[in-house]
Amino acid sequence: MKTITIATDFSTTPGARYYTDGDDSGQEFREKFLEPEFKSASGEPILIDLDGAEGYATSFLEEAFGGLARIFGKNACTRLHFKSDEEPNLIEEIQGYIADVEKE
Amino acid sequence: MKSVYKTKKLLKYSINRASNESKRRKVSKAKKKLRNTANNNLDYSERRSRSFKEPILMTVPSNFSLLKNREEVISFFHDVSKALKKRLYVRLDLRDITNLEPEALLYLLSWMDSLSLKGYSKYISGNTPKNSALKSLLACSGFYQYVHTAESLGNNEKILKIKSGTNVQNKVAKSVKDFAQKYLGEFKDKKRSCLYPTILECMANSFNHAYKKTERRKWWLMAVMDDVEDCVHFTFLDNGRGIPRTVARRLELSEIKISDSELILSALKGEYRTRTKQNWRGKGLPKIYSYLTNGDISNLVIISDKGHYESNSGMVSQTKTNFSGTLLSWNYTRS
Repeated sequence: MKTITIATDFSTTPGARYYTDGDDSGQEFREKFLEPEFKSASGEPILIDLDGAEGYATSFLEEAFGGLARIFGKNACTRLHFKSDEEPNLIEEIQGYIADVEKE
Repeated sequence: MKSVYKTKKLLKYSINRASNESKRRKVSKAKKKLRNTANNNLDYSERRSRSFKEPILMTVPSNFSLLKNREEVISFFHDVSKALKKRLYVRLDLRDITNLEPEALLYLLSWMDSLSLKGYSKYISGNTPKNSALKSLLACSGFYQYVHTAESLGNNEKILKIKSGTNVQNKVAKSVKDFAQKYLGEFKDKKRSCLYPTILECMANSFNHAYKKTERRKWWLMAVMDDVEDCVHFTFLDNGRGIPRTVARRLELSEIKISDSELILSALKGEYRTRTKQNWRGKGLPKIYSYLTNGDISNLVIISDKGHYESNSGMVSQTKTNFSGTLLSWNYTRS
């Protein structure tokens, strides 16, 4: 299983939603780390480690993972697994963003 | 091109006109000579002061606080704006203020910034409080970094100097979190480390929702350690379109009468959503509200347009005067 640790692989200070909002956006994270994995069609599960960062804005999480679901579909996002010992409620939050995409 | 009149009547008219013009130019030349002679006998500062209009002294409310004296402070700024629109020179008199709160300082800065974009900055000046503690607060807040002044900056470790920006600045958000952590101790319970996301949500909301894309989007932020209440008090402000206006426009509520304060409360609860017409957005305010209901933050106050929300009392109220922008203020306590 491939592991992506946001704090060490991307940024300890994740930003907001888009590139235009500021540095280390959810869009940047999705395009640089998530989309290449999904485009490769390997089907390998991906573990997203949320620990170690200063925190996450809702817009970052929604654009990173909700945006991924909007591009590849909710079913494709079942490959994603999450680890968040510091803030366990983040996992439910992210899963909510992914689930909401199907309803739109 | 002047007509050349050839008839007798019109020829006489033409001669008279030329004679009057000649007299007028002689008088004008004489006046100018007199004025220059008078000015030549003056030094530079005296010559300059002749063209300088004496500013009107406008007394700042003694309780200079938006949270505790909202109507008077907002009315004051409206009165000053009216004077400035008449191109009057205005001097803000802070000498006798007895209270100075961070949100009033930020509002003063944002108001001056918006006026400077319209070319009014040269008409505004001010003085400093007589009260030494308030004078020190003004100096240590970083206010002087944003105005032309001969006053020197001060330093107080318990005051995070005013920050401002035009987009989401995650490094600034981290520095604010570090400031609070320094006085409140390490956040062992990670759930309470909502400091960083809260600041980001405020910046993101300001950047994405308060302004049109063509406008200059700016926010201000300040934090102060309160030894009495053993908490860090945060204030965030922008002078864009307030929450009620953006929500009402999003939902096209022009024909439905809902008060600004009700719109603020509804936006907090996520009942009305974003200006961008994208349903997956607009989760920032509900997130801040969840931090409040979970007890991670306290004393949340939001003032926007004519709406006023206070979490302590659960009060929502309408102001008589319009607050241009959005103010958020909240506390992080040690326990």
